[in-house]
Amino acid sequence: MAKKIRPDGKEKVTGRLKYLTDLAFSNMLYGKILRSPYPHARILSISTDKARQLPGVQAVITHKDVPGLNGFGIVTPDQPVLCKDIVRYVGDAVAAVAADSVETATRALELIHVQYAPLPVLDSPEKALEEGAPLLHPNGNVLHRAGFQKGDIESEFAKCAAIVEETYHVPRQLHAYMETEGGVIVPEKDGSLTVYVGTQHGFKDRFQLARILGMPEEHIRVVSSPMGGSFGGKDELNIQPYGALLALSTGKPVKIHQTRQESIRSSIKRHPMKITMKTGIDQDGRLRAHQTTIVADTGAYATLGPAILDFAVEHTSGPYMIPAVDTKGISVFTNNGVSGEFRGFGGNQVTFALEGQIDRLAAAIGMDSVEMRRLNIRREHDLGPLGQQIAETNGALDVLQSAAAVYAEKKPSSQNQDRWKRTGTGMAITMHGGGLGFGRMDPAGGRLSLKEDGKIEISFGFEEAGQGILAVIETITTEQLGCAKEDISIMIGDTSLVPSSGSTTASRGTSMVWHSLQRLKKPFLQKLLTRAARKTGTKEGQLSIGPGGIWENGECRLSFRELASEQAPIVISTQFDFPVSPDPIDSAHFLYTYSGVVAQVEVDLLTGRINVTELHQSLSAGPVVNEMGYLGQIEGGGVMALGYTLMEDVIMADGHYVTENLDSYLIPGIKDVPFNLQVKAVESLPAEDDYGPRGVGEIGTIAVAPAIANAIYDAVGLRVSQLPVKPETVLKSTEERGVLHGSQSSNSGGN
Amino acid sequence: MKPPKFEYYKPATLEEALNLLEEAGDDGKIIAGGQSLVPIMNMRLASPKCLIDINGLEELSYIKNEDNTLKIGTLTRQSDVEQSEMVANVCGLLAEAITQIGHVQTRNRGTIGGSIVHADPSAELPLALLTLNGSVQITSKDEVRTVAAEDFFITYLTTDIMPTEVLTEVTIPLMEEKSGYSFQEVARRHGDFALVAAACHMTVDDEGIITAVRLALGGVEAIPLLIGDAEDILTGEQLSDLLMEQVTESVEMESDPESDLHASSEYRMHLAKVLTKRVLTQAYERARG
Repeated sequence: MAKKIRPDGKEKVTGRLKYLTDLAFSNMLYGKILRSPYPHARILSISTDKARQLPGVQAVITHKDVPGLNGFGIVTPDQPVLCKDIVRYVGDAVAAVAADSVETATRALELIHVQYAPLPVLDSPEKALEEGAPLLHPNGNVLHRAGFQKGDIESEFAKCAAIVEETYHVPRQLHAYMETEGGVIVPEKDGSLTVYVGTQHGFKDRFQLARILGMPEEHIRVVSSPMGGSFGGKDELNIQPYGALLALSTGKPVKIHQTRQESIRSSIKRHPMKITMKTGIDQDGRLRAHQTTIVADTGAYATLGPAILDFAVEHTSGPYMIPAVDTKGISVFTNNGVSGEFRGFGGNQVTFALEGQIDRLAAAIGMDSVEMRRLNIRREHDLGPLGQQIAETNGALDVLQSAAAVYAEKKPSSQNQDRWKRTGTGMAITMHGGGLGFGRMDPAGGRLSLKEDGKIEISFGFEEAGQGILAVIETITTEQLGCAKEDISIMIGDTSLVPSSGSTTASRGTSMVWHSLQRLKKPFLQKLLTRAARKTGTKEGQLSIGPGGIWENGECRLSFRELASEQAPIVISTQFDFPVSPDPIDSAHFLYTYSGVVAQVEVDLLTGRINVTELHQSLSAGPVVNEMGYLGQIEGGGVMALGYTLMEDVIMADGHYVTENLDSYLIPGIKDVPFNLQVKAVESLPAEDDYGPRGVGEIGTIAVAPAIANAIYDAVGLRVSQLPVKPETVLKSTEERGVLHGSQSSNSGGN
Repeated sequence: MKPPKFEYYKPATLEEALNLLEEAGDDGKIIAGGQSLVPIMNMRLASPKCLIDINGLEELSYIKNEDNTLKIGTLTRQSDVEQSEMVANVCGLLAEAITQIGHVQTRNRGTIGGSIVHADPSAELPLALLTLNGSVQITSKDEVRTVAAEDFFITYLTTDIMPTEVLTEVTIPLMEEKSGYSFQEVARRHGDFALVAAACHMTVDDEGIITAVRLALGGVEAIPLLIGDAEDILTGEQLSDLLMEQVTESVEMESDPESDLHASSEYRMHLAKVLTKRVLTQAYERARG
């Protein structure tokens, strides 16, 4: 397949693209948000008088100035826009200011006097669940419980030759998108409001803003694309309500663009989880019983916490068929930063634990871990992990075979040049559901139009966050219609101009674009050809669509411009739902993607440093739409996961951020990227598959951490159970066991 | 973030720069490559009222070998030194240290003098300068003085230089024949400030007896730390595991690394000892050829 340059590529690499935070309007003001200095406190009073008197300050707002619902949250609006009586984390907003300059707005924040009475800080789920702990929300400190049971767990455990029980800890990860939250909110002359702020779901933002502002949705236009990265982090509202309230109260455009420090303080993160797994295997290598407890620190507010826990529960047994499964999950409110949507959506956490179990179990019965995976892997006609019917593919076995071939080639670890270094190879596999799952509204849609200017406009309510949706739309549209990329224009990310397509999330964009085109193509082409036949006096059957226009006998008879001229536009729309399982099992997914990962590491026994030298990812997600976009997602996802494995951790102490910026929160740089980085797409789908290419936005991030962890074990015998893996941990473990001087023994105690 | 407001001057001559500096007093700050100063200003950790940009002073950019002394003008870009064949030939330690500073982009802009006056305790150039027994030339309106590296660094980000002075030249006595060097560091990521860095410069005679040695560590104290005992322990001896053990004991005695988010004190100490052995071994091997 030819490598197609993405349509937004040139503008991005030349720096010409205007992001929404680059916009400026005349008379524009600058907004700043005052957030709580306490992780948990009662607000006794708020005095804004001095701030209002500061020259250059045009508005100071507090909870009193919220005309509608003082709350937001994609599912449950439990997070106050501006806190009135209680603050529950250090990102909670108490007031906001609009001023002539950023400096004045910042100064004004210092002049707002808020009296707080600090309350006990619940900085861990354990503390929040203690009897007598203060209640953070009216319904208590448990946001959500989820579970799944099948089979008789005790009798299956009784049949096991080995049982491994381990507790895994995974950190709070920062999305670290390049563009921090921001944009401009403009009050229009007709009383409406235009919100130029990057988000993953413009229509959802509009809905939430309407509720907060007490305005009809139709009076709000959300322009939400392009964005400088999101990874799930901009699905929830961030600065939009403050910008909107300030714009409405001043009648002027207000720009807010958070600093990195403000962003880290207020943004959502990946859920830290404590996952205990007890898994049993019989003497033939068959997994028999799998018991899991998940405790998720969801922070101060709900956002998508419940759905993420549901997703984690669903993916607890991964691509394996296990007769008895018992999973219990709890998502707990704390006074830590809010946890929410993040690429992988709970799958990363449980996959790290599960694939750690698999390697430990194989070792426990002395079986080759690849063989053991093969023995237990799901097959084409097997039901999904919650017992639901899913789109049948052989993806799990395909990626296992593909990864196994790489693993076999890499496994015989070469002798290191330096006697203080050890090389190891590890493997992990996973499956990952796309879309929101059964029982959740998951509408999609798109629109094709032949505009007056002769352009074929393809339009979706998706946003370009760098993931490459524009390239996907361009490729699928031109391939399906048979026209050239110059013939089309793509319209996305503007609620006044695009149809609702649902959220740009859950690896659903590529799928939904393809499904839309399947629905739009036929009626649209039919209309074009009918009109062309009329205009040219040729029979429809002799005409076809080609680059530039309508073709007949290998020649372009009529350009799209000629076809469009002096007539009404041709418009075809579609609305449908993301495909779900026919079995009504809550939150169960239907379309899955699969990955098999092989990692090779080099461990320095004198410094404890881990260098990931090779990362091979095999994917099964249907046909590749755009090769560059696919590679970008999988390679980028792999490197993001490498950071999760080896360095990233948003550290909090007593409810305060310790890592406040990118000087202390480290993400991988180009030199940390494995030198040998390979992506292999297994594109085959069953002949009867109706669902086309699946999205790959998340799958590249999921099985990398356990593959690296298993490689570390292979290299130095350390069983990793906590991320990120720190050099000091490796050093301590290898020194204790005398690995350098030859007496290498495995440490089943983990770290 | 953007820096707070400041006045900006771009003098055409060193004399003009020194006059401006004298006038500005404590409010003035020289800007050269800006690779340390600009981030600090953007983060609002420093807000000098007056920036004096010496980037136009081409006369401060040179690399010379005079009287067996390497002389490098303060404004010389780190990448120019990195790419200098002459430096590679006569002062391998400096060449090796430079490649470990930040990234290509920061080295293209960052200057020799800038990194030394910034005096981060784990930065490469201050450590290399100390190990090589170099010195700096400091110029003010009234005088030109020379300060040895050993006396120049005072504490974190603090040197002997006064607000009205400019570091104008770095001088390094050149290697004797039969000498070897090594510069190694461990950072959390490539290009980050080192958790610990170690540098060694050593000369040996034909029998492999060490005739002179300087060993220094970065990141274990508030300033780059010369391990004076190394000279006493190793001079007159061939390098052996036993002697290296003794040196690492001195390292442990003399350094007191801090704990922070990136590494514990114990881990830094461990690295100091590991790197000490590595640089001693490599320098010795290189010296013996």
